[in-house]
Formats: sequence, C-alpha cells, structure tokens
Amino acid sequence: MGIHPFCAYMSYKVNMESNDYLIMKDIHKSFSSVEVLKGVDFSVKRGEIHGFLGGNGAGKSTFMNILGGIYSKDSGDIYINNKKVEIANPMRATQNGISFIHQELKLFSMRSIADNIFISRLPLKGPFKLIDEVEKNKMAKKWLDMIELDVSPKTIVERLSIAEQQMVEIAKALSYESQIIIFDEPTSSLTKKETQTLFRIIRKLKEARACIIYISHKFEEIFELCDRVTVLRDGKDVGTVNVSETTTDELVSMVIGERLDQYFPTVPPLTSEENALEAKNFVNYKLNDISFSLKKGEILGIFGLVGAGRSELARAVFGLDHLVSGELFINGKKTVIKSPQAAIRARLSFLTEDRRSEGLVLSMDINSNLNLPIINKTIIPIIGLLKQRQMKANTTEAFSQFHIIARDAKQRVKFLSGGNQQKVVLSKWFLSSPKVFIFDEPTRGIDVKTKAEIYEQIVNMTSAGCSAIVISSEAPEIIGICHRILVMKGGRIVGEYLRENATEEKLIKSAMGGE
Amino acid sequence: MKIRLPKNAIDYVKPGMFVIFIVFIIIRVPIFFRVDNLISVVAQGAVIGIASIGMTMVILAGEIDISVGAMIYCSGAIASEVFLSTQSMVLTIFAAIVSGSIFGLLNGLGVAKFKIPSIITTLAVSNILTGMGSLIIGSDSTLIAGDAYKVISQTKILGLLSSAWLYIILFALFLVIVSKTRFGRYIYAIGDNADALRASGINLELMQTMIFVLTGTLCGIGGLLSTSRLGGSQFNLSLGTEIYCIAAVVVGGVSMTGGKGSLLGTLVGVFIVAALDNLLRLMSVSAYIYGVVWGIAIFTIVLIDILKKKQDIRNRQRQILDHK
Repeated sequence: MGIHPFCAYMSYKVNMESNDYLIMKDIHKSFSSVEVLKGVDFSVKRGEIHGFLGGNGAGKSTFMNILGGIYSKDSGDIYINNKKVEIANPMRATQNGISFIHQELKLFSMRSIADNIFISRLPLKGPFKLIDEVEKNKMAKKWLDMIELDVSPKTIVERLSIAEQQMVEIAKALSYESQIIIFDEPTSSLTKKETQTLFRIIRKLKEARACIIYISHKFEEIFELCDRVTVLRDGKDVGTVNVSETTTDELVSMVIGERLDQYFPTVPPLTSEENALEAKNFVNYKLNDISFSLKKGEILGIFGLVGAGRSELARAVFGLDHLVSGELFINGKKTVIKSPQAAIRARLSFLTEDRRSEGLVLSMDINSNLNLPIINKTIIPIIGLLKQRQMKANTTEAFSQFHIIARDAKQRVKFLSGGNQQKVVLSKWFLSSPKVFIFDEPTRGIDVKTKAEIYEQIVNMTSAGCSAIVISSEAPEIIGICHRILVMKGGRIVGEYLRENATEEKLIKSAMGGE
Repeated sequence: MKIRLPKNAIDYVKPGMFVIFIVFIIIRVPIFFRVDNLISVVAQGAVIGIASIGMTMVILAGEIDISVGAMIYCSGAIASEVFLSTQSMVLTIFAAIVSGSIFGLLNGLGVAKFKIPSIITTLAVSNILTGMGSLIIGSDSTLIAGDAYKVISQTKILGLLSSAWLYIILFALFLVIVSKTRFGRYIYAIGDNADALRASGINLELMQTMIFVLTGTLCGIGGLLSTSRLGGSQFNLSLGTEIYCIAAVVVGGVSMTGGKGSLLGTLVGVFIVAALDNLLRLMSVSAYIYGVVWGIAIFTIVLIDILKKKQDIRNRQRQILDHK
C-alpha cells in the first residue's frame, strides 16, 4: 500500500479544532407514556473517543438508537458539523456519516464479506449490468487490510469468529466513510487478544479524526481507551468528565446516584441449614464451572451485568439450556432436568426476564393465563374439559393475594400494565406451589409501588418454606431482599457477599472487575 | 482464527440417498437410461422445471408459493381459450404470460404490501385461480384448442422438443439473473436477513413483489406449455405442481428458511423429480402411490436439513467452549 488509507479521512474539512462535531440537545423520548429520556445533552469532538456509561435501564441504548435512526426522538435537536439534521431511519443515519456497530451484529451470515460490505452499492460492469465480482472483492480487500483482518473477502460471514464478524461491521462503517462510529459494548464476546486488536483499530480511527462513541459497562476499558466519558442515569445526563481527571469511585457514584430509598420488607433470618438446591460444576457454552447452593427458605441474589451469564445459569437449572457437564441436587437428591416439564415436576418455577414473550400468553385472558401451569389439575378426568369453577376460584384467590388491578378476570393480559402483567405471571407460578422459585429481573420496567408489592410477595413466599433465587441488575434491590448475594462475570461466580456486608459499591466493582 | 464445522454423519445422508437412487435405477429399470427415455424425461420435466425456477427464488427469499399449480392451470386455460377463439399464436403467448404475471402480482402485493404470510396469500390465490380455471374450461371438463395449438411445445428442434428448449433458455437466463445481478443478490439477502437489507436502504417490498411476479410469469409460460402439449386444457390439469417444485428445490439443496442454495441445485432436483416420476410410470406403479412417495421424499429431506442445522449449532457451542 502506498499512502496510508486512513489519510482518506484527513481530507475532510474541519472547521475548528475544539468545535464539537456532533451535538445532541435536549433529547426526549417516551415509550407508551413512560419517559425514558428526559432531556439529554451530548456532544462529541472530532478525533475523540467518547465513553458512554450508565446502569441498566438508564436509557443508553434508547439514546444511541435515536442517533442511529432506529427510534425517532419526541423532541430535541441533532447537529452534525454545525448543520441541523433529522435522522428518520437507519439509511438517513448512514447518509449523515453515522455507523452503529450493534451488539447483535446485523450481517448477512450466509453471504461473503464483500457482499456484506457493499450490498447496497454492488459495482456493475458490461452492457447487462452484471455484478463486477473482481472489483467488489478488490474494494473489500482494501477495507479489510485497513482493519488488519487477514481473510479473503470471499469468506462466508458465518464461518468467521464473532470478533472477525465485528471487524466486518467496522470495515462496512469505514467503507461508508462514516465520521461518527458508535460501538455498543463491542468487547462483550471478545477474548483479551481480540479486544486489544479492536482497541488498536479504534485508536487508528481516532488518529484519522473520526468521532468514536464507546458504550461500555467496563471501567477498565473506559480508562484505557476513552478521552471523555458521559454518564447517563434515569434518562438524564449526569455529567461529562475527562477520563484523565476522574476515578473509578467517582464514576461509580455518578452511575448509582443518590436514589430515593425504596421500600423493602423485613427479611426473616434463615432458620434451616438444609440445602433446597445445589448445583455442582455447571459448564456449557456460557457457564464456566459454576457451583452454588441454596438453603431452604433462603433468598439468594445473583448480581451481574448484562451478558455475565446470569440468565443462562437460570435457564440451565430450569432445563431450558443444554449442559455439557454438571450435577444438580434437589433436597439432597441428584436430579436430572432436561426440560422445563421436568423442572416443573421437580417443583421449580422460573419467572423469565421477558414476561411478554415467555411468561404470558398475551392474547388470552387473566383467568386462562393464571391456570396454565396447573392445567392438568383443573381438568375433569377422561372427559378432558376444564373445571371452570375451580379455575375461577384460583383466580379470585390470586386477585386478592396479589392485588391485581384489572377490569375483571376476563380481561386479556396484553391490555394490562407492566406491573399487573408481572403480578399475573407471579401468581400463575405461585399456584403451582413451587419449592424453588427463580426470578429473572422480577421488577424490570415496573413502578416503585408495584415493586414493593412484589418484594413483599417474594419474602412471604420464603417464610412459607419456599426458596428463591433473584437475578437482578439493580444492586439496591438485591441487597434489600436477599440473604446472600453471588456476583457473576463472564460466566463465573466472582464474588459472594452476605447481606450484612454487601454494599452497592462492592457489588458493582466486583461485577465490572474494577477490583 | 476460522471456525470450521466438522463433518458429521448427517452430512452424508443426502448424497448417500442419491447414490442408492442411481444404483436402484441401474439394477431395476435400466431402460431409464435409453436416450429416447431421457429426452422424454426432459420434456416431461420442462413445466416443473420452469415453475421451479420461480419456486427457487421464492424459497431463497424465505417465502413459499403454493399457488404455482393453480397459476399454471388458470393461465393454461386462458391461453387455450384465447387460441380457440382467435387462432393467433402471438395473442395466446401474450395472454399466458400476462395472466401469469397478474396472478403473481396478486401474491406479491399480498405478501409484500399487506404483510399476509405467503403461505396464506398463495393458498387464497390458489383457490381463486382453481375456481377461475374451471369456470373457463366450462362444464365439458375439457377445452380442446386444436392440433395447431400443439406446435408451441411439440415442435422438434435439433432432436429436442421446443418445450425443452424453452426450459433450457429460461434456465440460462435466470441462472444469470439470480447469481450475477443486483436483484439476484437481494433475493439471497432477503432470505438471509431482511431487516439488514431494509436498513441498507433497499426497497424490500418492491423486491419481494418482483420475485412473486416473476414466479407468476414463469407459471404463465408453464401453463402455455402444459396445455399446448395436450392441445387444450382439462379439469384440474397441473394442479398440485407446486409439490413437485418444492420437492425439486429442497432436493436441490436450497434451504427452506431462505438465503442458501442455487438454481443449479434446483436443476439437479428437477432432474431427480422428473426421473422419479418417469420411474414410477415405467414401473407402472399405481397413481395413488405417487402422492405418498412425494410426501415422504419432501418430509425426509427437510428433516435432514433441520437435523443438520441443529448439529451445526451444537458444534458451534462446543467450539466456543473449547476456545475458553
């Protein structure tokens, strides 16, 4: 190669050294009356790597999806190079020089690398306008060389590793000569070595004066890579600081903020020393030799960031994910659970993270949803008809116990609020009287009052002899209701805290690997 | 670091079945390989072959078209009727092609514009066209267009029937379209990741519609050939052709979920389907057995593909594990 290809970027006109290239002002966004972004200001300079931090649900991805044209903003302005722009769809974002490298890659997995990069601009030749494969591969090779990816542009994408696929996305972004490149937690599935290569490429982009927005949960990456960092909390930007002038502690406190104390019920002390459930050496594609035990009547919290393998652990226990090795003991007896049916027979219950698609049949009414797990018990033998009266009795009981607010039992669950939907899911599983109850993010997207009610139900349940595992990304919640807390990172358990000596700082630091 | 998928027993099932099939023919029905028989296989396969070109595009794009047989039936009936009343070759060919394209447009609008699942859209269109075709043929249950009509498909050129030549020409044309043009590349991309294609600024709805329209056009030509061969149409002629097309496409290695496969594969598939059909005739098997054979064949091959996919996912998860 003659001149360094990155010089292509240098030819762009730069107004003034210190000017912000991208400015987003007072961005608002609501989803069905819930305000997710409450006026966020954000700006990036040329040749800057700008970190973007925030807890789960702070509005990070909503905000970046607005910049990427995936969501439209309710109000606010976006300026690029001092010109006001509207980004109505992903194509407009590309035209404005914005590339978004998503966590789940958006590639054509069965096509070649070259096809992926040039799908909307395939070069043609000859009178019949046929695709010029030679030219296409040559052009693709140029961009692959630039990002140091040493594979043929003809390689089919699904044959590449995740890291290489990510590189293809970056090559695509470069080929559009994008000036603003957003990385959404790019290292979550990369090895250390791959991460270093990625960082080298990102620094090259910075030298070429591109604007890099780097979304991450990991402090060490922010400190290693970024120039400035903006923290988002509860839909507001709480500040932008120079990385060289800040500390992990300052960032942690910015992420956590001073929250209003939530109402937590009193958790009764543990009485039993017997194990209700014990997992030994769980290994699968996501889990890395995990062992833990759960006592009778205990509430065990599992804290960790998205992608740490928490849900996968729950899924493995519940027979939804395949285990390569590992043993499960229930009440001291070795039990093999290979399907959710087997798990329910063993009196386990699992409240999934995604209540709308996995927890409820949205188009059915409350009554039918509630009685689903125990449907075998509400059938008249031989005839196979449902015992309507018993179902109604179950429903009435659930209504009063869980304070479900609905028009009546015949209301379809898709018309209920998030909190009430969650109560329906909860009471649905309670009806099957489980011995071990796994909650995956039980209060996500739920208002404070309903949260408190759900905490109370969890505690009530364990005082009745049932054990619970609570998976949550919210540290205060997990400290508030759990006897003991495990912290997961990268498919391993990296920390264990008793409720008495757990603090938010400790949990977050250990989950992010800050210490 | 490249991820290589290890070979598994399941990978050998399909080639194995193919070998057993060939060996079976050599031993049981050697007459099959005589030149005149092979020529008739190609001629019989022409209609299925032409319709399979369309079916390949539809399945590559991740959709399905079960109105193929009915489109052939109805446009064939229209062509016969036009020939009978005008005796004009040009008008007849025009009528077949235009009617087929309009039927295809109905499917395309239903799927692309109104977002009705393709299986439902084409099922509805299939029923409409079956009824319409029968109305055109009328209560006599046959519609004789005359021997002059046979010229279109039964003329011998260089030892091959004109219908076979037409298949060869259309195949070559679409082979280029599907593998060498932008439109062809978009067909694969739709079946692979339609959202990503839309995000690239490609008019997804237009592409989907065009795929169905072209399939309709090809079925129009198929209708012309199938009725020309008989010198007219009759009740329920060609209905159910889609099952042969789907069989040819899946035998040819096109993934039922879209994005993977090629027209060359379908060509092999068409030949196997036509050969199996010919074989069943040579062995004078009861016509009722046909349906059983086709059903089992499709079921088995799709099952193999699905098992293969599962195996691939397992292998990949294992590799990630080994990598740790």
